[in-house]
Amino acid sequence: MEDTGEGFYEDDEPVEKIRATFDAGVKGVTGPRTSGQTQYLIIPDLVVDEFVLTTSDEVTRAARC
Amino acid sequence: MMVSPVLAKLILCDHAVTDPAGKVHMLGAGWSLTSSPTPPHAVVALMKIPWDRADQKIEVSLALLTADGEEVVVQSPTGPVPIAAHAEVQARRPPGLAPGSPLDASFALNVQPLPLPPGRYHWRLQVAGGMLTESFEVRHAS
Repeated sequence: MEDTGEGFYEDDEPVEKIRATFDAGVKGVTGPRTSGQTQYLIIPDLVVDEFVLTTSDEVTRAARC
Repeated sequence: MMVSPVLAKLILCDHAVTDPAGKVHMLGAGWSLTSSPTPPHAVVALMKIPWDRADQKIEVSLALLTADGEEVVVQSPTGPVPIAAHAEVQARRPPGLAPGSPLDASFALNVQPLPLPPGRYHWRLQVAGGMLTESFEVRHAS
Protein backbone atom coordinates (compact mmCIF):
# COMPACT_ATOMS: atom_id res chain seq x y z
CA MET A 1 0.00 0.00 0.00
CA GLU A 2 1.36 3.42 -0.94
CA ASP A 3 2.19 5.74 1.90
CA THR A 4 0.45 9.00 1.12
CA GLY A 5 1.60 10.72 4.27
CA GLU A 6 -1.95 11.54 5.07
CA GLY A 7 -2.40 12.38 8.71
CA PHE A 8 1.32 12.81 9.27
CA TYR A 9 1.41 16.56 8.61
CA GLU A 10 -0.68 19.27 10.16
CA ASP A 11 -3.09 21.11 7.87
CA ASP A 12 -1.12 24.35 7.93
CA GLU A 13 2.32 22.82 7.26
CA PRO A 14 4.04 23.54 3.90
CA VAL A 15 4.11 19.86 2.99
CA GLU A 16 5.45 20.31 -0.53
CA LYS A 17 8.34 22.48 0.70
CA ILE A 18 9.23 20.01 3.43
CA ARG A 19 9.24 17.10 0.95
CA ALA A 20 11.27 19.08 -1.60
CA THR A 21 13.86 19.98 1.02
CA PHE A 22 14.04 16.39 2.19
CA ASP A 23 14.42 15.10 -1.39
CA ALA A 24 17.18 17.64 -2.11
CA GLY A 25 19.16 16.29 0.81
CA VAL A 26 19.54 19.60 2.62
CA LYS A 27 18.07 18.45 5.87
CA GLY A 28 19.18 20.51 8.81
CA VAL A 29 19.32 23.82 6.94
CA THR A 30 17.55 26.36 9.10
CA GLY A 31 18.63 29.74 7.77
CA PRO A 32 20.40 31.39 4.86
CA ARG A 33 23.11 33.17 6.83
CA THR A 34 24.92 33.47 10.12
CA SER A 35 24.09 35.69 13.07
CA GLY A 36 25.59 39.14 13.56
CA GLN A 37 24.58 42.14 15.61
CA THR A 38 25.96 45.67 15.95
CA GLN A 39 25.17 47.99 18.85
CA TYR A 40 26.20 51.51 19.77
CA LEU A 41 26.64 52.48 23.39
CA ILE A 42 25.73 56.16 23.60
CA ILE A 43 25.33 58.02 26.87
CA PRO A 44 23.07 61.02 26.22
CA ASP A 45 24.51 64.45 27.04
CA LEU A 46 27.77 63.06 28.37
CA VAL A 47 30.41 65.77 28.07
CA VAL A 48 33.94 64.49 27.67
CA ASP A 49 36.81 66.96 27.86
CA GLU A 50 34.68 69.88 26.69
CA PHE A 51 33.47 67.78 23.78
CA VAL A 52 29.77 67.06 23.41
CA LEU A 53 28.90 64.11 21.21
CA THR A 54 26.60 64.98 18.37
CA THR A 55 24.92 62.91 15.72
CA SER A 56 26.37 62.86 12.22
CA ASP A 57 23.31 64.75 11.07
CA GLU A 58 24.02 67.57 13.53
CA VAL A 59 27.65 67.65 12.46
CA THR A 60 26.64 67.93 8.81
CA ARG A 61 24.19 70.72 9.52
CA ALA A 62 26.75 72.62 11.60
CA ALA A 63 29.30 72.37 8.79
CA ARG A 64 26.84 73.93 6.34
CA CYS A 65 26.20 76.98 8.53
CA MET B 1 21.48 17.56 29.90
CA MET B 2 25.00 18.56 28.95
CA VAL B 3 25.24 21.28 26.33
CA SER B 4 28.13 21.99 24.00
CA PRO B 5 30.25 25.01 24.93
CA VAL B 6 30.35 28.19 22.84
CA LEU B 7 33.86 29.19 21.79
CA ALA B 8 34.57 32.91 21.60
CA LYS B 9 37.23 35.53 20.92
CA LEU B 10 37.27 39.18 21.95
CA ILE B 11 38.94 41.84 19.82
CA LEU B 12 39.37 45.54 20.57
CA CYS B 13 39.31 47.93 17.64
CA ASP B 14 38.38 51.48 16.71
CA HIS B 15 35.12 50.68 14.93
CA ALA B 16 33.22 47.56 13.94
CA VAL B 17 30.09 46.69 12.00
CA THR B 18 28.55 43.30 11.28
CA ASP B 19 27.07 42.72 7.85
CA PRO B 20 24.22 40.52 6.62
CA ALA B 21 26.68 37.91 5.31
CA GLY B 22 27.92 37.35 8.84
CA LYS B 23 31.26 39.11 8.47
CA VAL B 24 32.55 41.75 10.87
CA HIS B 25 34.23 44.80 9.35
CA MET B 26 36.80 46.19 11.79
CA LEU B 27 39.02 49.26 11.66
CA GLY B 28 42.07 49.74 13.83
CA ALA B 29 42.00 46.33 15.52
CA GLY B 30 44.55 45.07 17.99
CA TRP B 31 45.28 47.98 20.32
CA SER B 32 45.68 47.64 24.08
CA LEU B 33 46.93 51.09 25.14
CA THR B 34 44.92 54.28 24.94
CA SER B 35 44.52 57.73 26.47
CA SER B 36 41.77 59.44 28.41
CA PRO B 37 39.18 60.43 27.42
CA THR B 38 39.23 57.26 25.40
CA PRO B 39 38.68 57.69 21.66
CA PRO B 40 35.59 56.00 20.25
CA HIS B 41 36.30 52.29 20.24
CA ALA B 42 34.62 48.97 19.69
CA VAL B 43 34.75 45.51 21.17
CA VAL B 44 33.90 42.53 19.00
CA ALA B 45 32.88 39.06 20.12
CA LEU B 46 33.43 36.37 17.50
CA MET B 47 31.65 33.19 18.49
CA LYS B 48 31.46 29.62 17.27
CA ILE B 49 28.07 28.18 18.10
CA PRO B 50 27.93 24.37 18.23
CA TRP B 51 25.79 22.68 15.58
CA ASP B 52 23.43 21.28 18.19
CA ARG B 53 22.72 24.76 19.52
CA ALA B 54 21.54 26.16 16.18
CA ASP B 55 18.37 28.25 16.38
CA GLN B 56 18.67 28.63 20.14
CA LYS B 57 18.61 32.16 21.50
CA ILE B 58 21.89 32.61 23.33
CA GLU B 59 22.39 35.60 25.62
CA VAL B 60 25.56 37.61 25.23
CA SER B 61 26.67 40.38 27.56
CA LEU B 62 29.63 42.72 27.53
CA ALA B 63 30.70 44.83 30.49
CA LEU B 64 33.64 47.11 31.16
CA LEU B 65 35.39 46.32 34.44
CA THR B 66 38.12 47.96 36.46
CA ALA B 67 41.33 46.14 37.37
CA ASP B 68 39.57 45.11 40.60
CA GLY B 69 36.75 43.49 38.67
CA GLU B 70 34.16 46.14 39.48
CA GLU B 71 31.82 47.36 36.76
CA VAL B 72 32.74 50.78 35.37
CA VAL B 73 30.01 53.34 35.96
CA VAL B 74 30.13 56.73 34.25
CA GLN B 75 28.38 59.72 35.76
CA SER B 76 26.13 61.40 33.21
CA PRO B 77 23.69 64.33 33.62
CA THR B 78 20.90 61.78 33.92
CA GLY B 79 22.67 59.67 36.54
CA PRO B 80 25.19 56.84 36.75
CA VAL B 81 25.41 54.66 33.65
CA PRO B 82 27.11 51.25 33.66
CA ILE B 83 29.24 50.61 30.59
CA ALA B 84 27.64 47.38 29.47
CA ALA B 85 25.48 45.91 26.74
CA HIS B 86 23.35 42.83 26.21
CA ALA B 87 22.32 40.99 23.08
CA GLU B 88 20.89 37.72 21.88
CA VAL B 89 22.45 35.71 19.09
CA GLN B 90 20.66 32.98 17.22
CA ALA B 91 22.86 31.10 14.81
CA ARG B 92 21.30 29.30 11.85
CA ARG B 93 22.50 26.43 9.74
CA PRO B 94 23.19 27.90 6.30
CA PRO B 95 23.05 25.74 3.17
CA GLY B 96 26.27 24.02 2.16
CA LEU B 97 27.64 23.59 5.65
CA ALA B 98 28.67 20.08 6.63
CA PRO B 99 26.55 18.72 9.50
CA GLY B 100 28.38 19.16 12.79
CA SER B 101 30.23 22.31 11.73
CA PRO B 102 30.40 25.19 14.21
CA LEU B 103 28.20 28.15 13.29
CA ASP B 104 29.50 31.72 13.14
CA ALA B 105 27.93 34.42 15.25
CA SER B 106 29.20 37.87 16.16
CA PHE B 107 28.39 40.84 18.34
CA ALA B 108 29.99 44.25 17.83
CA LEU B 109 29.62 47.00 20.42
CA ASN B 110 30.75 50.51 19.54
CA VAL B 111 31.47 52.75 22.50
CA GLN B 112 31.62 56.52 22.65
CA PRO B 113 34.54 58.42 24.28
CA LEU B 114 34.68 57.77 28.01
CA PRO B 115 36.34 59.80 30.79
CA LEU B 116 38.24 56.87 32.32
CA PRO B 117 40.89 57.44 35.01
CA PRO B 118 44.32 55.99 34.15
CA GLY B 119 44.61 52.30 34.92
CA ARG B 120 43.89 48.82 33.65
CA TYR B 121 40.46 47.84 32.37
CA HIS B 122 38.84 44.64 31.11
CA TRP B 123 36.03 44.02 28.69
CA ARG B 124 34.22 40.94 29.98
CA LEU B 125 32.20 38.75 27.66
CA GLN B 126 29.66 36.38 29.16
CA VAL B 127 28.05 33.88 26.81
CA ALA B 128 26.32 30.55 27.43
CA GLY B 129 27.75 30.20 30.93
CA GLY B 130 31.29 30.96 29.81
CA MET B 131 33.40 34.04 30.41
CA LEU B 132 36.23 35.72 28.54
CA THR B 133 38.08 39.01 29.05
CA GLU B 134 40.24 41.32 26.97
CA SER B 135 42.16 44.04 28.77
CA PHE B 136 43.57 47.43 27.89
CA GLU B 137 45.46 50.21 29.66
CA VAL B 138 44.51 53.88 29.95
CA ARG B 139 47.77 55.75 30.34
CA HIS B 140 48.47 58.91 32.32
CA ALA B 141 48.36 62.15 30.35
CA SER B 142 51.92 63.16 29.42
